[in-house]
Amino acid sequence: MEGNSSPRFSGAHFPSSPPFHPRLHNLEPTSSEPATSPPLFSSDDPPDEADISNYESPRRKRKYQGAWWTSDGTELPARRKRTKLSRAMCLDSGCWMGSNDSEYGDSERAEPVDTMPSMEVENLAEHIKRATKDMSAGEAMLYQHVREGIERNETAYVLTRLYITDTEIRHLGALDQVIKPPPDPGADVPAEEQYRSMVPEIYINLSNNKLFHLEPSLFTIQHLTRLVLRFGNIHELPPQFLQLRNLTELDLNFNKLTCLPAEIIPLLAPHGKLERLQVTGNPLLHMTRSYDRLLASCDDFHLSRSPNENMTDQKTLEHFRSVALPEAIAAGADQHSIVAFWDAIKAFEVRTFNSDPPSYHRSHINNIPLGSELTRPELIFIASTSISYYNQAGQRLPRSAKCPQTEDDDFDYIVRMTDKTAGPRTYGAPATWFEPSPRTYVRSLSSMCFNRSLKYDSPAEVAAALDGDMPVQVEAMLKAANENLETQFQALRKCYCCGRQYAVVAAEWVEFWASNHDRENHTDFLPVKVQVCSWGCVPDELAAKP
Amino acid sequence: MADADATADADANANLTEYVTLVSNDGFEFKILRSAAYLAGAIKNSLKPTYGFKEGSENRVDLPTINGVVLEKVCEYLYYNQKHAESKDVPDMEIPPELCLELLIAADYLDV
Ligand SMILES: [Zn+2]
Repeated sequence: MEGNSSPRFSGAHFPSSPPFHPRLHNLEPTSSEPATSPPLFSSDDPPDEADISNYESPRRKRKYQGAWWTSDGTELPARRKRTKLSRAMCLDSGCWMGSNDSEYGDSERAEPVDTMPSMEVENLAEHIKRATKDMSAGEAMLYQHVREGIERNETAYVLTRLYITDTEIRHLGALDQVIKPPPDPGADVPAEEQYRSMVPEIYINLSNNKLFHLEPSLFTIQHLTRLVLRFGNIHELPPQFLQLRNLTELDLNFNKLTCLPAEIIPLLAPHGKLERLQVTGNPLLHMTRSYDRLLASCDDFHLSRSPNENMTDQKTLEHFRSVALPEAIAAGADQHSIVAFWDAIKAFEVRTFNSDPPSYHRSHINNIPLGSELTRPELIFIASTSISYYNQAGQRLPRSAKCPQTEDDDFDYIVRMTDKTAGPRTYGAPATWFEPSPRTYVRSLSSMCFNRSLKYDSPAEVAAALDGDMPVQVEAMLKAANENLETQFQALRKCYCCGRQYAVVAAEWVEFWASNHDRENHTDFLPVKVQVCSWGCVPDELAAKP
Repeated sequence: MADADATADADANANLTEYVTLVSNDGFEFKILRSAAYLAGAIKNSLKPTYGFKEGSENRVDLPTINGVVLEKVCEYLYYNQKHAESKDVPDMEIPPELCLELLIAADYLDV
C-alpha cells in the first residue's frame, strides 16, 4: 500500500541526540539537565506510578542504593565514575541514533567496556561474564547492556542487529528495575523540581533482529514508553501488548503484520497514551472493492478540487459526509481516494463522526480521552468484516464468512459509521448473511472441561494423560492450545468481549479504524482483529444482519 | 434444521415421555428432562423413535463408557445449558479438577 510514497520511516520524530546526562546522582552539579520529558507529574500517569514522597516538602530523595545485585552500595569516587561513564555511554545504548537504527558504531559497541579498578564494577563485569558464558554473542551483548544499564539507571536501549531471537530478549524484563535518578544534589533546585516524577521513560530499539513472536518479559516493563521493532518477522502481536499502558510510540515498520490485535485499541490515543503507531511496510489487510461502484458514488462531488472550492455550501458537505463518503468506503475506494475524502471533510468540519468506540471496546478503556477536541488523535471505528464462526474444534462453520488472511484476499465488509446527527448507518452489507442459531454464550461441556484442564496442566501434560484415548476433537483443541503457547505465551487466551479464558477461537472478525497515528494529518485505516470465546460473545450489533 | 427434526419427531411419536433415563456403566440411573437430554447430540440421536432403537421406545439410554460420577456432572451441565441458553455473563459451571479429563472424554462422546 502506497509503495510509491516517500519513505516514512525516518526517525525524525525521535528527539535527536539528547544532551548527555549523567545518571548517577553524585556527580558535579553542572549537568542537571533532565534527559527525559519535563519535570512534572502528568495527570495521565496511573495513580500507582505516583510516588507520594514527591509531594512531601522538603522532598526526600530516593537514594541510589548501589548495584542491582548487591545491597552494599559502596560509593565510588565521583570523578572517576564520570569519566568512565561518559565513555561507556558514547559507545553503547546511551547514543540515540537519529535514523532507523544504528548503522554505525556496532563494532565500537562490540568492544568490551574496560573495567575499572573498583569493587562494584568488577563484580558487575564478573557477574556478566559468568552469566553470559553459555549465551550467543547477541544475547550476551543484550544481557550486558541490560545489566550495565540498570546499574546506572539508563533509560535508552539500542539493541539492533544483534541477531537475537525471541527467547533471547527475555532479560529485558529486568529493566522494570530502572528508576529515574533524582536530580543532582548540588544543583539549584527550582520550585517545580519538587514535583519531578520519578517515573523513568524507557526506550528500547530491537530493530533488525530475528524476532517473530517477542517474549512475555517485554510486556512486564511497565515504564516502557517507546518501542522500536523495525525490520522484524512479526506476523502477529501478542495480546499482552495491552499491559504496556505507558507506551507512547510503537514502531512496527517493515514486519509481516496483516492485522493488529483488538487489544491495541485501548492503548491508542485518545483512549490511551499511544500516540504514534507506525506500521508501514507490513502486508496489512485493506478495504478494496469494485472501482465502478466507487466511481458512481463519487460523481456528486469533485475529488480533484480542493475542499475549500468544493464544499462551501452546507448541503454539499452534508451529502458528502453522510452519504458519499460511507458509500465510497463501502464501494471499496482505494485508500488514497478515501483518505482524500476524509481529509476534505476534516478540513471543512472537524469531528463529523462520532468517535465513541463500540461498547465491547469501551469496557477496556478506563480513562477519558486525552487532549482537546482539536488536537486529539483520531481513532474512529469505520467498518467490520462479516463474522467468521468456528466449532469447538476450530473448524469454520461452512456458511460463515472466511476471515481474511492476506492482503490479497477478497472479503466483504460492512461500513458502520455513526453520524453525529443521523445516527448509525451501515453500508455495503453482503447479500448473504449468516448467524448461527442459537448464538449461545454458554460454551460446550467439552470446551469447558478442556479449558479447565489447561488451568492445571500444560497441553503436553493433557496430551500425555489422554495418550491412546485421544478423541479427534480434543486433538484439534490441543493443537489450538499449542499455537496459543507459541504466539501468546500461554495455552489459554482471554476473550476480548467477556474476559473468560479459552483455547479455541469461536468467532473472529476484522475491523477497520480510521487513525492518524502513523502520520499527523493523514488518515490510514488500521485493520484490527477481534477474537472471542463463544458465538454469544459476538456483539449483537455486529452479529445481526444490518 | 432443528425445526425439521422436531416436526419429524412429533409426527413419528406423539406419546414421548417428559423425562428420559440415562444409565451409567456402574448402574446409576439419572432421570432427566427430555428437552435437556436432547442438548447432547448423541443422546438425542439414540432416543429418536424413528431410528427404531430400543432406547427410543423405552426412553432409556445405557452409557457403558461413562461412570456415575461423570454422568451426574453431564446431567448438571445439560440443565445448566438449558437454563442459561439465552443469558449472558453466566459463570462457567464448576468442574472439579480431577474430573476434567474424564468428563472431557464423556462430553466428546456425547457431543455436548
Ligand atoms: Zn467470550
